[in-house]
Amino acid sequence: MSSIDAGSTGLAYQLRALSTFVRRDMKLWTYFKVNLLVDLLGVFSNLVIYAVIARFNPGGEGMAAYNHDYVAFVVIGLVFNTLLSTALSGPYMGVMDSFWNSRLEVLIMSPVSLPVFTVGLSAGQYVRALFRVAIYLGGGALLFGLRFPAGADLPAAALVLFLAVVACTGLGLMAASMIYIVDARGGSDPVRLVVENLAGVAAGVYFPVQVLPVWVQWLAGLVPHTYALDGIRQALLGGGTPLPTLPLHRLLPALSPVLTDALALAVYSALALPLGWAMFKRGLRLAKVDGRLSRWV
Amino acid sequence: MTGRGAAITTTGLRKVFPKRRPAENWMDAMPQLVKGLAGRQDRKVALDGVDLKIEDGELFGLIGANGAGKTTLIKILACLMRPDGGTATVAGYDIHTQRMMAKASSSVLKGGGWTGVLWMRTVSQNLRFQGEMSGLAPALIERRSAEVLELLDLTDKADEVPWYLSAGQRHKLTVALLFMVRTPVVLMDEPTVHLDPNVAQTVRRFIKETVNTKRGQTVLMSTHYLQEAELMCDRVAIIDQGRLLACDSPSRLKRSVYDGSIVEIRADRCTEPGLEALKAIHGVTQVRARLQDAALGRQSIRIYGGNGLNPMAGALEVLGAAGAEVKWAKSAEPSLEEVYLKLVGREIN
Ligand SMILES: Nc1ncnc2c1ncn2[C@@H]1O[C@H](COP(=O)(O)OP(=O)(O)O)[C@@H](O)[C@H]1O
Ligand SMILES: [Mg+2]
Repeated sequence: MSSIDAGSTGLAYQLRALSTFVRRDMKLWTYFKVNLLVDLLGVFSNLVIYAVIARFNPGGEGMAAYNHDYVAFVVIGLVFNTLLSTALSGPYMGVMDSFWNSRLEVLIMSPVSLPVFTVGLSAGQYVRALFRVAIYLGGGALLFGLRFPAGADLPAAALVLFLAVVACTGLGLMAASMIYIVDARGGSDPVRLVVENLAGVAAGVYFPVQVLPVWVQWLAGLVPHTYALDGIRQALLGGGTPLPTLPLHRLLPALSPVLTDALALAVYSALALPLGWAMFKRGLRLAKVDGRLSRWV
Repeated sequence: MTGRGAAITTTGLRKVFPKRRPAENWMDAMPQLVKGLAGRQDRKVALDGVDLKIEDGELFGLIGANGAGKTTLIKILACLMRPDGGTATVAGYDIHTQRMMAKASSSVLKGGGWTGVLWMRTVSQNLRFQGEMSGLAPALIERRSAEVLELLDLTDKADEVPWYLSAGQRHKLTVALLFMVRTPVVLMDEPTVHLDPNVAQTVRRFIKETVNTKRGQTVLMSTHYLQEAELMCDRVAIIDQGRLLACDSPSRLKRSVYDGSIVEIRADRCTEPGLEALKAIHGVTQVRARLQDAALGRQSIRIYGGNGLNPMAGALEVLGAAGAEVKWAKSAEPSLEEVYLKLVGREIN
């Protein structure tokens, strides 16, 4: 019998496979030049909208913890929203893209490990997200006077970012599992519906949470975005003296608010990631049982 | 893993699907949803206890009509689907307990589609991508792509994007992707479906000469073209409604359904009484006639002689007496079509 002649499938292979995934995604993204341009211009116009709003100086209520700096506040919001929605949508979009392009069966049959497969599905989308982030930060700094004050707590900011991405990845895996668990192959799913709406309305991307009714503030506490946005803004803009802004902060007055945010995110990640992973695997397994895994018939 | 014997085995493989009817509206969907939740959907048995053993190096054909269960069997062997009962091995690896190795031991080709093709990358970039995803060394990737492009007559398309290829060329690309990795087992689901005769011939030759003979890969291919199976395969299995009805070499299968002699005659001005008279010839067990041209009364007739008796002379005499004009007559072999008809009870298409 002829033997399997594929090279090693160890770590080096898995990493190379990941970079192959990313390159493929970048080609896909840049193939239609007009769409690429429209995509990037859309990001820019989004930035302009909020920079113009900043001219009205919405620096009043609730902005004390964030140095009354609306431009920095909203740019951080946009950047985080971009990264977190990538974490949230990445697995879903990746599976769907492979499904409709008849690539899923090939990927599932290749020796890439399931974690690499899953990360690989969204890796390309992270690279795209970084372009958007660069536009928000670069455009903000060059055109709208985006500055971060001295005394920004960078390690805390990085920790919050990391934990938030992990937590949202957990939610993203749950969203992707819906493709097969409830047959949500049509482009939307219930998990993202709930999370994105809560995050968009209540988590404070565009305005501080304190302007909302208290019960909505508690509701906002159900999504990681809320802690992530507050944590990173206070770490970067708070000037070393974070203020309690969320209901949870007032519940735990002994802890520093940024620490509370980080803790909340850590707990969230510890729950959401394993649960999301289990659901994702369960979805794939279900699909293999009832034959909906791929478009191949 | 050499010397483990069979390349593919299945034992009591069973697969049952819920019957899915798309609901027209929500009112329609509700009863189905409730039934589904109660686990009481209508069911469809796609594989019903399939036992199969394919030897190392065989080119094996799985013959069946639409809906017979061919794709289901192939997907299970490719680890893309889980059976509801029974088990299988691929290159000696159990699909339940040694999934990763079983998966790594086979490659899959699906006829009539885009499977595995990146539409926005050129033909040669597609081949490279496939090689990289399989962990091959760059030099090997280059060598194999050049070789397979040559073999499949795609060299001048190497720098074109699949979107702008013809359907046949695109299909050859999916076949070429298969060549990048040499797995012990190759699973092909209707590899020549919807192809024009030229491309189909190229693909068949590639499968038989390159994949099976030269590389020594064991091939399991499904098809509903009986002639194709007869021409290509060492052994075939006939599957209908999820059951294997027979499994043997085409020649033995043919002999098993019929061991007498067969005469094939083309004749004009054939009348019903003439055909009836053929059946009355001593030793004739069966007569099958197919009308070719109503205006001419042209029939294509197959006459089956019982043990030892050749019905040729008798048939020519009877037809002559009935006023028919015999165009040609020859001794014929039974075909897989007859085997299929006899075992399944209807024609395949
Ligand atoms: N995912 C599925 N869900 C429900 N029924 C299915 C599914 N896949 C196949 N079937 C049914 O199982 C039977 C066998 O299908 P298949 O293996 O695709 O047949 P073939 O490939 O021989 O044409 C058919 O009746 C088909 O409708
Ligand atoms: Mg089929």
